[in-house]
Amino acid sequence: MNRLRRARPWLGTLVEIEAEAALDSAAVLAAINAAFAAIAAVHAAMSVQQPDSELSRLNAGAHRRALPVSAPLLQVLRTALDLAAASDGAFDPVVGGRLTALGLLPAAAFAAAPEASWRDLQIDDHGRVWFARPLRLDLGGIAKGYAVDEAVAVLRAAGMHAAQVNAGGDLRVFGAAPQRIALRDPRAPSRLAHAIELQDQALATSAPYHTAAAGLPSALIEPRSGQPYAGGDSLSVIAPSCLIADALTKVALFATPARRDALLERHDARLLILSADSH
Amino acid sequence: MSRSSRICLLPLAALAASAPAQATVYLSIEDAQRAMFGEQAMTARPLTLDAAQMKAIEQASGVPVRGSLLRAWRAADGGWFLLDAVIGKSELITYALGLDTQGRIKQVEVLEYRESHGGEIRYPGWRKQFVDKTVGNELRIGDDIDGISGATLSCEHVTDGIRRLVAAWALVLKPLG
Repeated sequence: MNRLRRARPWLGTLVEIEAEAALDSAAVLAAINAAFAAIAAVHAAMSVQQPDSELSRLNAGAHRRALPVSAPLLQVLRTALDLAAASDGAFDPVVGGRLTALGLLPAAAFAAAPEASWRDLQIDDHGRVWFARPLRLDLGGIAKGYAVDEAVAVLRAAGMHAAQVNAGGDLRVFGAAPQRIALRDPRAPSRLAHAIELQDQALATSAPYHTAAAGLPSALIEPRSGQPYAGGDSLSVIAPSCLIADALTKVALFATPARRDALLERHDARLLILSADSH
Repeated sequence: MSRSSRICLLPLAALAASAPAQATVYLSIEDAQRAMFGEQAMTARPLTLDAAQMKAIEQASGVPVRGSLLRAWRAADGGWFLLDAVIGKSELITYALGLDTQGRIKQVEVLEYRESHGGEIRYPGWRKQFVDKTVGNELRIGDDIDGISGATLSCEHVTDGIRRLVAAWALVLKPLG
C-alpha cells in the first residue's frame, strides 16, 4: 500500500490531497496530479478574483445578453439557485456585489448592484445565463466544495483505495476506514477543539475566525441585509457531497430554523455547532 | 428550544484544553525536485541578493523582499528550482517553485506547513488532561488526526511569494544565462 500527501495553492487557499492505493507510488502520484488538475480547472472557470475566468466573463457581460456556460459552471449555478430559493436567500451566489461594496472582494471593472440577489439570476431553456441587472456572482460559498468533489471523483476513478481532499477546511474523505477530522476552535483557530470521524462523507466549516477575536466584523455576510455574522459559533456541516456541505454552512448561519432543518433533512446533512456560550 | 436530530451542539471547553494544530511535512527538497525535474541533476546555486537587486525585485513584483538569500538550484536543462518560506497570520509555509528555461511556472509544491502557537501556552499534558466528551461520534484529539476543518486559510502569501520569485528570476537568474 502506498500513501502520498501533497499540498498546492488553489482556490485562494491551500488544497491538500492525500491518497492511498495498492499501486506503486508513481501511480498514486499520477492520481494526485490528475486530481489537482481537476481542481485547477474549477479554479480557472469559477474564480471571482481572476478577471479571465468563465465566471468573471459572465459577471462582465451577462446583464447585456444571455451567455452560454460550460457544463460544470451550469451545474454549480443550478445547485446554487436551488439552494438560494430553498433557503430564501440565506445562501446567495449573487452576494458578490455586497462583498465588493464592503471591500471584501477587489473592485471590478463593471458596476454590480449590492442589493442584487439570486432572483436577478436567470438560466434559460438553452442553459444560457443572463442577469436582470448588473450583478456579481461569487461562488466562494460553493465552488470549493464542488472542486473537492471533482477531485474525489478523479481519485476514485484512478483506483485509489482511500483518500482525503481538503480545500482550506472544506473536505471530503473516502475509503474503508473512518478518518479523524479535527475542528478548529473558533476562539483561537490555530487550536483544535474537537475531533469527529468521517467515512465517505464531506465536511465544511464556517466560523468568524480571526475577525471576532480581533474585534473586527466577520467576513461572513448575510446576503439579504449585507450585515456581517455577529455570532461567535463555528458551524460545520457533514453531508454526502462537499458541494452541499459547503453551501449548507451558509444556510446554517443565516436561514430560519425551519428552512435550515428542512434543507439538512433534504440533503441528508448534519450540523455541528461549536459554541462558546451554550452552557 | 427543540432542535432537529440533525443538529449537534458541541460545547467548547476552556481554551487551554484545546490542542495546538500540528505541522505537516509533505515532501523533502529532493522529492520536490524530482517531482518537477525528474531525474535531472540539480546543482545548488544559492545567491545573496544585494540591496539594489532586492529593491528592483520589490518594485517589479510589488511584494516586499525580506531576506537577501535566494535558495536556488539549477536543473541540467537550465530550469530553476527555488525554495522559499512565507509567514501568514499564524502559519509558516515552506514551498518550492519550479521554473522552466523561459521563466514559466512548471509547478508549485508545498513542502511543509506549520501553524505557530503564537502567544498561546503549549500544553504538554494536553493529551491526558483533555476531557473526552461523548457527544455524537466525537473523539478525543490525538496525534492520529487525518485532517482539519475550518478556517479557510488564505494562500495569499504563497501567491505573493511566487510573484516575488518570478521577478527574482527575471532580474537576477535570467541574466546568468
